[in-house]
Amino acid sequence: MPRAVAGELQHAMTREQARLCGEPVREASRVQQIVLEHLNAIWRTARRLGVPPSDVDDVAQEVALVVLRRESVIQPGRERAFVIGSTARIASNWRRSRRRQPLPLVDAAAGFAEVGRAELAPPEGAGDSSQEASLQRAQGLALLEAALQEMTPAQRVVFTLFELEEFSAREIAEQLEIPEAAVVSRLRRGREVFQSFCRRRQLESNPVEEGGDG
Amino acid sequence: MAEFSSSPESKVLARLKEFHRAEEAPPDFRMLVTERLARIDAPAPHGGLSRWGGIGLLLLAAAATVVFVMRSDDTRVTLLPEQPAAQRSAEAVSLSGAAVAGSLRWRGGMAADGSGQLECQYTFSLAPEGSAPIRVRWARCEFPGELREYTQPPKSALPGPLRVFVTGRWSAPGQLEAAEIRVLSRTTEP
Repeated sequence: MPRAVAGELQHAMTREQARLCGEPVREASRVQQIVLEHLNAIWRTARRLGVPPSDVDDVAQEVALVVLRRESVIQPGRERAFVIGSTARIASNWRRSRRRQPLPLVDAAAGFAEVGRAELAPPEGAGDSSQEASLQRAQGLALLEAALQEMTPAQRVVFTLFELEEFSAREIAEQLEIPEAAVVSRLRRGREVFQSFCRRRQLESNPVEEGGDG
Repeated sequence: MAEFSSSPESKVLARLKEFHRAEEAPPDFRMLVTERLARIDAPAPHGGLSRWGGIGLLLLAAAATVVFVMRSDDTRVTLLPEQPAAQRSAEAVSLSGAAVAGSLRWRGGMAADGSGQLECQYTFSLAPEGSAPIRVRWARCEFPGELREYTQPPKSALPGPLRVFVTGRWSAPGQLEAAEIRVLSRTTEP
């Protein structure tokens, strides 16, 4: 699997760096392996749940601490669910604590710049396909962010885990420690919000090209 | 549930999901987390004293106690009036200075009371003009991004100097418990 290969490669590189620097080679622990292997998922889950880029490292550190504390209870093969579930819980707590504080200017500006960048129309003559692809991706993520912002925090968490990370309702219920019926209900409401968002923006199957202007 | 999966919005969502799943963590974030992981997961340092070291320290402490008792018998001690520490530390202080690059120390975790809230503590060095550097402690999870980037170890991501204005109270000599931190523009004063 490519993800496993990437993790192994990174592991090997770390060992090689240690060897070159004359440090004693220490095998990466299971905690390090779990966190590093799922770092992309931590990043994107935290971002979808409203954590600004400048604070995702704090969330990741918190996830690492939880993994460290509960390593013995993480079943092999369930690492991804554990890591993403922990990220969702920590990101939700982060949002709650953040709501009581005014958003620092720097983060507000960063978020604004990100959405602004993403919603810009492609520059004329931008023929480079990779540039276009990255612009489309940014537009798509900005649209997704806008849709998620219309949901309540609880709906947003369930919607993200179910629709974007493809967890089952049961897995989400286990990770968030809530009844499965609550997951289903929040998911239904989240979908309604998403549908209403799409209809207002008249989004069709190609959301970025036809609806990116907001 | 079935209604949604056959709706046109589900196709929109499928496309957005592709973008989401393709999103990768930026390299600087990856590097930062890798560094922190190494620190979190490092084996505990050999902090325990050896048996002989412990005995030596005990003997030293006993000798010091004997000397102190003997001196206190035949030495007059004059007590000087001193400003109460509580009063001193209660005074609010405002000062500005240059943040020291690479001096940031950070820790955080869940609150011990089980409330699920995050608790954070940031400490960095500040060099006020004309006096020795002090340590500034900030016990909230929101920390100015520019200051974090500048003071982040091992070296700053931004060119310096970065001037900072701090308000707070002394919690110990040379340590300020900050209630407000403002990053000043590089040329203006508060």
